[in-house]
Amino acid sequence: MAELSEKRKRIVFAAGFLILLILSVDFWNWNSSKPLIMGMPFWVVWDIVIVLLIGVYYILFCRYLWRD
Amino acid sequence: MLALVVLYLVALLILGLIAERSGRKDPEGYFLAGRSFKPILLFFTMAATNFSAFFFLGFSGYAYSYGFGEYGVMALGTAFMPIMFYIIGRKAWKLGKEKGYATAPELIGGEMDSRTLRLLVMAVMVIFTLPYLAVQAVGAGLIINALSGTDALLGAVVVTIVIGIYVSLGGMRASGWTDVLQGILMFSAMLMAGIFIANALGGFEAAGESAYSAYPEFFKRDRMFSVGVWISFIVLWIFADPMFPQLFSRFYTAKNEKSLKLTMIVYPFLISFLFLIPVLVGVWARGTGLQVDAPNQVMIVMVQNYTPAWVFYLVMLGALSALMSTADSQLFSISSMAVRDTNIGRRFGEVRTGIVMTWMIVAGIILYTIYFFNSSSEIMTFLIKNSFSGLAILSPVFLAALYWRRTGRMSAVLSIILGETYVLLSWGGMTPATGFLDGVVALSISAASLVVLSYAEDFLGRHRRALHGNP
Repeated sequence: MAELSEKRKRIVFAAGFLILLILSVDFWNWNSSKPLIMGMPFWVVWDIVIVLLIGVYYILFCRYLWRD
Repeated sequence: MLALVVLYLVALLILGLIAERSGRKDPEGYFLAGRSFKPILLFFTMAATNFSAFFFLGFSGYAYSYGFGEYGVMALGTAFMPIMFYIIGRKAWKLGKEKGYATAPELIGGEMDSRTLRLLVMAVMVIFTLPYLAVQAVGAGLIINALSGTDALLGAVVVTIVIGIYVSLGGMRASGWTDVLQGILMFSAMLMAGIFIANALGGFEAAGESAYSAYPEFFKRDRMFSVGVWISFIVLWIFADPMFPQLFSRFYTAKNEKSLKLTMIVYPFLISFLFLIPVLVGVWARGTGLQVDAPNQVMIVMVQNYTPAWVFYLVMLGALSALMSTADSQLFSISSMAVRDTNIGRRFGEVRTGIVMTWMIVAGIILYTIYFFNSSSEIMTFLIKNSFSGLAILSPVFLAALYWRRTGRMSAVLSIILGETYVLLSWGGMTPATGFLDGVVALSISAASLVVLSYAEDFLGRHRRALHGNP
């Protein structure tokens, strides 16, 4: 990642953000409620995972793209 | 438990006093804490300002009414939003340092070289923030009444005066420092509520399965959220949150970019579990067979029924903290705009005018609270419900001012007016059904009109210059 040009890094991170946005609209799970995981529907667990992935994305973003 | 409330309010006043003694007394020291907020402080003040009483009581109320979908729209939208700390926040912070900006309208007015635009942005921000601030005082009164039995109206007035004292004493520094205390209180209270209620209901799994067997429809999204509405909420949160003047002004307070970065990184990790707890409590309440008239009371009733008394007090204090941390920041951002963006401060001294403005707003809120404590006006309800839409409409102009040189001043003014007009039409039910929230349609109208009109303005400008031979 460190050796990519600035422009390529921007493209990679923009694509990453777009993928996370698409994954956050999990239309394929829309009308389901089962299976329950820890008493929550599967899609809530999916949402939690996406939120955590956004956090990981920000760590990488700040490390490789956002320079002081 | 009056002593607990008094202790809490005294702690806030002491923090305000220390902030007043330790900070610089010039305008930058008062309005921006000398641009000195380090990472942890900036994170707490940003989060405590952002998460209002709605997070504390409203989330569980919505989950009780509509199910688990509330978690998705709130958590995903708020997790995506910090990308704006880079796109808008970093630029605003840099420009603020270079050019001395302290408010959002100041940045727009300066970058676009337009006083009209500056005043328009200020007007929109005040219109959609002031009503929110006014009703928080009423909410504070109700919480104090539940906690200590004190008259709710008296509680509302006292809380408003306490906020006025520490904000006017210590300015942004006091607002930030009290946010740390309030943030710790609200986060720990929410955690305690979740742990104790889950334990009392037999654990996460048992509580969830009990709710599922009673109300399986609450575990699906199609009851309340279509795909279009889901996308709308995510988009709206991303564009609206940074436009809240109390959040925008915090971009300027960062000591360095590390402060903004840490806030951006921690936000999603905190949200992942913190937003889940009130939603779980709201859904679990269905499994217990609880019936409440006002859904916003679900969290309070569940805590009362299933946790020890000290957790109940902690949760009520947490709710009060959530409310006050947002209210003090709103109050200070409105008084800052009134001083900096109207030029009154230059005539009478900015810090002194800031203090006078803060007390004038406090007086207005107290009068509103006294006269409208038990009633709600239609216009206030509309403004509060549409504050996200109304403020999101400003974001295309901010993005264009920061990144697009072709942006025309008149186009920016018109794009805001067009977007706000659509929001106003939605009040009268005069907007077509699109499958998306009206706020997102209004945001699209504002963005599209800004681009089209800017090209037209640019073309006409060049045509005029060519005709008249002006440089």
